[in-house]
Amino acid sequence: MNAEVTGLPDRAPRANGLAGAMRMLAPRWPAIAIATAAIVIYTFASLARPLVIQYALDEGVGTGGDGGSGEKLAWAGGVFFALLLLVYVFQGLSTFLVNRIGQDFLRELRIRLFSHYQRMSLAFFGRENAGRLVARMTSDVATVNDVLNNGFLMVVQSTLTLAGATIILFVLSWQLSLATAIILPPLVIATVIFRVYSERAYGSVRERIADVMIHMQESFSGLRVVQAFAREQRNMERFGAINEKNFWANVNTVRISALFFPFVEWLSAVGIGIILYFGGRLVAGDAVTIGTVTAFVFYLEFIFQPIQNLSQVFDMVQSAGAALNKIFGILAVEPDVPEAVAPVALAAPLAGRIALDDVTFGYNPERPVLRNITTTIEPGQHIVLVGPTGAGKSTLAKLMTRFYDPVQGRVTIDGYDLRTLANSDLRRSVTMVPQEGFLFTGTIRENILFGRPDASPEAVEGACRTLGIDGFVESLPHGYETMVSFRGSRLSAGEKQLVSIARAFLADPPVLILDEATSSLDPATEEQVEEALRKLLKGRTSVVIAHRLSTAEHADRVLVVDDGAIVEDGNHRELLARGGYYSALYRQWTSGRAARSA
Amino acid sequence: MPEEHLDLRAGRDLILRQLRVRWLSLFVAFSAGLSWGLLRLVVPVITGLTIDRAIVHENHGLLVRLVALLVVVVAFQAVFAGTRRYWALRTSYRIEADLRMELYDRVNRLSFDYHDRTATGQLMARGSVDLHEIQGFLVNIPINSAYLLMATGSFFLLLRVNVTLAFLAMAVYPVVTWLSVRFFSQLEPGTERVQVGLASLTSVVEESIAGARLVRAFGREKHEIGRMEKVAGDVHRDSMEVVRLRTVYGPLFYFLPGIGQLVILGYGGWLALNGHMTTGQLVSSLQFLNMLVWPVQSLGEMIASGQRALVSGARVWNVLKEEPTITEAPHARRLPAGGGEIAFNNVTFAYQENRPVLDEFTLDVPAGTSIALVGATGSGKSTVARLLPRFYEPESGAVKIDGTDVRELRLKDLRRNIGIVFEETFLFSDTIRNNIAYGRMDASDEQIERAARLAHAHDFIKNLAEGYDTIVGEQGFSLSGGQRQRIAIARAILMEPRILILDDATSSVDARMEEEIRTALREVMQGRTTLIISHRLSTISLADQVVLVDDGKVAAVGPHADLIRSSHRYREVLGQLEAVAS
Ligand SMILES: Nc1ncnc2c1ncn2[C@@H]1O[C@H](COP(=O)(O)OP(=O)(O)OP(=O)(O)O)[C@@H](O)[C@H]1O
Ligand SMILES: Nc1ncnc2c1ncn2[C@@H]1O[C@H](COP(=O)(O)OP(=O)(O)OP(=O)(O)O)[C@@H](O)[C@H]1O
Ligand SMILES: [Mg+2]
Ligand SMILES: [Mg+2]
Repeated sequence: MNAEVTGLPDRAPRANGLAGAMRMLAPRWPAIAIATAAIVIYTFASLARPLVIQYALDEGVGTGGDGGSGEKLAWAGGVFFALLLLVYVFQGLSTFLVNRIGQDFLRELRIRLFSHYQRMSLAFFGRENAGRLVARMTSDVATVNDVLNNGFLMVVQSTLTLAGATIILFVLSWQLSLATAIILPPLVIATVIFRVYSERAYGSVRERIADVMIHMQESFSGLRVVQAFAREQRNMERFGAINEKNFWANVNTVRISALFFPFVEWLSAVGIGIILYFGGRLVAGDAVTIGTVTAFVFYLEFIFQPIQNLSQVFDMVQSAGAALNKIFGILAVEPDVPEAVAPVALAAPLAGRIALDDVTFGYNPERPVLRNITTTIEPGQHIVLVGPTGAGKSTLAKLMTRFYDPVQGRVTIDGYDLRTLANSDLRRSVTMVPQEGFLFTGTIRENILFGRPDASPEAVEGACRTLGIDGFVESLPHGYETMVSFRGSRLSAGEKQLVSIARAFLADPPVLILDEATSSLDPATEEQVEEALRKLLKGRTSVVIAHRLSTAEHADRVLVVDDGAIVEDGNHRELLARGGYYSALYRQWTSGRAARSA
Repeated sequence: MPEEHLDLRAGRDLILRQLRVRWLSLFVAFSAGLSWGLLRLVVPVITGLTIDRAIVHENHGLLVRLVALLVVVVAFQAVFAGTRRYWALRTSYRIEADLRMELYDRVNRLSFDYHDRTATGQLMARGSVDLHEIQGFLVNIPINSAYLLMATGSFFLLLRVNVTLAFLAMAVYPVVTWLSVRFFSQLEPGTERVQVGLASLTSVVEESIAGARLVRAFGREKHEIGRMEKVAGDVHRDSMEVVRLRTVYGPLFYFLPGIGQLVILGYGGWLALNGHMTTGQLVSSLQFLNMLVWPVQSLGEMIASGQRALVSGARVWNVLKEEPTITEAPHARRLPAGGGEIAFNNVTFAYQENRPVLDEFTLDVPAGTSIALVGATGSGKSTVARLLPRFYEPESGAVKIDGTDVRELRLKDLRRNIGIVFEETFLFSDTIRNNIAYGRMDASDEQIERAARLAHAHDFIKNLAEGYDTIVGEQGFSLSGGQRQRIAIARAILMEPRILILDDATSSVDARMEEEIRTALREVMQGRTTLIISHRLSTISLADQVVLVDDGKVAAVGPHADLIRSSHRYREVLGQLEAVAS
């Protein structure tokens, strides 16, 4: 659940996002330079337009006092048109370039971030909230997008406009400029106050909407549990409260903006009033012309708009800065299970001798789950891991596949430390079917192909036939093309496991690890699957975790894991004879049969 | 996934329905908007008058009066602007919140069959993106009406100055309007594609995180990156398509109104030069056009946004119009007192047509006994369990608890009396305490701990860093498989149900602990009924009765010891074919 709800700190590391973004943008400097030049040109062109209006009035129409002139009026018209054209061309050019740079940047950022996720270990995904990782790639990137597309343009344009307009106004008439400047203090103060309040208000909207999304996500994905425990009413009440809070947070932002924007509108009209009043008096004193007064009226907008734009950009840049810091913070996390920089080159495919050498491991290093484990699995051995729940069996399997690295000691395959192998070599050699079955959204065929994407359709069907599940798949409404999804697929629990097993079957690795991969199958099907696996795995190493001891009966070796250590090691008969944990467990397990003879 | 059918008319009706409910605040926003639009026309008029009457004739008194009038008029204008903004935004947010609540309520009540065929992500999109789209459209209605009024008003005011000038200057506006409608309608498919692209980008990220174990296990990182490169590339391509349109059209929306100003400056200037028009009129005409730069292009945007809102409305409606297939009877009863007797009478059921799962399934479970369902993978055991709390409805036949058809019972009462542990454990990303107390929020700490003890979860919970306050990570994956299952069992026990269903609930628990749990449960379930689904001989053998489910029917019933002797199919399913020989 999200920190906003649980009160957990957002542990996402931060990094200097701006510097990172700059580094990524640096190679694009020519485009950035051209875009900036284009913005400068069209900003100046639009700044010049009121000047042309002034000229047209004073010199063309004749409000300047010297009488009008049709020719000058025509000139003014021509220049006005030329300015329009300039704005048209360069505005288009800058829009295109700025967006192009932005989109390229975003694509690169997304792929970099995602590739980074792919280098991360499972520990990372255990630590980080999945929703938040998704948000980094979607909403955070979108925030950056906003700044890139609008922010940059607005900063350059608004600064230039503000500076340009101020200079022009002072040149036109310093007296009138000073008079007009009266409205600037209230404008700036109001803007600053508004920003402070709206920042707070929008911040709380962001939190509230996150609550809404999290609650919806949790109750929609856990809907079967919600209904089974008849929590609908209760959840409605809770969601109602969350939804209402979100509404009021929104209304809060409205209250502020409904005061601020009309005030600014009024202020700008007051500005016009001031210009008319002082301008009128100055015209009377022949200090300025009517054209100048008109130009002032039009320039007012060139002062108002940039100030508000800049304050808005300020916000944008702030939130984009925060987003960038989070994004680059994630990028700065070193993978805790990093791929070897210079992996060993393998001469031949691995045979599959797995050795654990004094391995200690804990998800939290201070609470070891496995302690000083040393054992060797010979190539071609069929090993079964048994032991009480929570003993560390899955953890052991995860170390063998290098989902995690041991805190102490080492795991080797054919003598190579797993940390020295290339990921691709390792994955080709060791495959695991995790305890938590998982189907991707897609067809059954695509799910099986996940094990070996280049396999032919015949190979997929062949794998299913060998497992004896071809009949089941073909009985589905669309056979191999039946759609399943990662939540709410329409298969029974056992059927899902069969698809997962087929996937591993197709991958056909030298070392296969099955973590309770058959736990939901009926014993007959399980036996059938195991039979098929035995054939497939002839000469290969396999490690099977199971609570059903029928599996153990056929194993070359049974390892009993208890409380983070291997406490018994031997084959089924030896362990039974030893009279330890295993034999007790086995007696328990066969009690069903005992009951029959009783 | 099949294409969703969108009924735009239903989308419209949905939006209209909400507007009718909020008509008063909408009316306020609307009137304020129109008043604001009217008053805005006053500023250029006063500017013109001031120049002509006060400035040119150097009439100081009039100058003061006109400027004061301007400030006062605009003060009113500001009040109207604030009123419009407040009520327009507030109403649109209100409608969004109302619809979201309705949607949530509906999704909450829709039965399992609906959720079987609907992705969570899709429902989330309905509750966020689509509602947002509707809100964005509604909020702009008052201001756009005001804009329309302003444009018309400007035209009439220009007409009074000079008919030719009015027509010449305003001639660009139909063009701008036409262009903006064209622009936004061309933009629409592109923006839609970007949206779709972003949605699939999100699901690629989501799945690669949710399925990270598999991606790592099969070394498919490169493949995943390839998928991301493709969707990120698609988003880039579609966004650039949108950018290209913006590049072509965007600057036109400044250029064309500029042409209007040029016309006024040139032709109007010429008129003024020849005394057919005053300077003030010229200035106010220029101001009118300046004022209309925004409003006119917003019409196209409004139309596009309206279309999007209709589509979104139709999508939301598609959820709202769904009726739960499982509903409470009008005079539903409370569950009568009893010990949890269960009866299935000739129950026939199928998830999909032509694939019957249960066929005339008949079973009687006396109150207070424990019964085990046994059967091959996919034989329909879980289905039997799901029919009991009425997650699905049989096609024919009846399911009864303590003699009452479950269809006649109050749903809440029924489900509260059945504790179910699903075969696939779902834990909420919340504390362990809240997960256990999910069905009984008011449970005391002692009760929670007792349930955890019974499920043999207390010991490991106590050893966690923060005990019962430990937050189980994403989908509970920071716990071992058996630990998750035991929390789910504790959650069901805490309900003190009359009937407890354990659907393969201990598959990840070792046989020894399972036995301990079962012993503990036997005590609490004294006088109540337990339904166990399991593939384990040790578990099955402990049940009073075993039911073999095969071919959608009850193939055999009896104590384990009897069945294993008498039923070949039973031995076959349990992989005990050699048992008879021994
Ligand atoms: N991702 C994780 N983060 C923190 N602790 C974990 C994580 N996964 C497992 N643990 C803890 O490590 C211990 C061993 O878990 P593991 O999954 O290896 O048990 P297991 O032997 O496979 O049990 P089961 O038979 O129930 O699957 C447990 O106490 C568990 O709570
Ligand atoms: N939600 C669903 N929609 C469509 N078909 C379904 C759905 N759930 C199950 N089925 C199908 O109905 C049949 C019975 O499923 P059910 O889950 O009852 O089997 P099961 O006996 O519990 O099997 P398992 O031992 O594997 O859990 C299966 O063939 C399965 O594919
Ligand atoms: Mg495990
Ligand atoms: Mg099942």
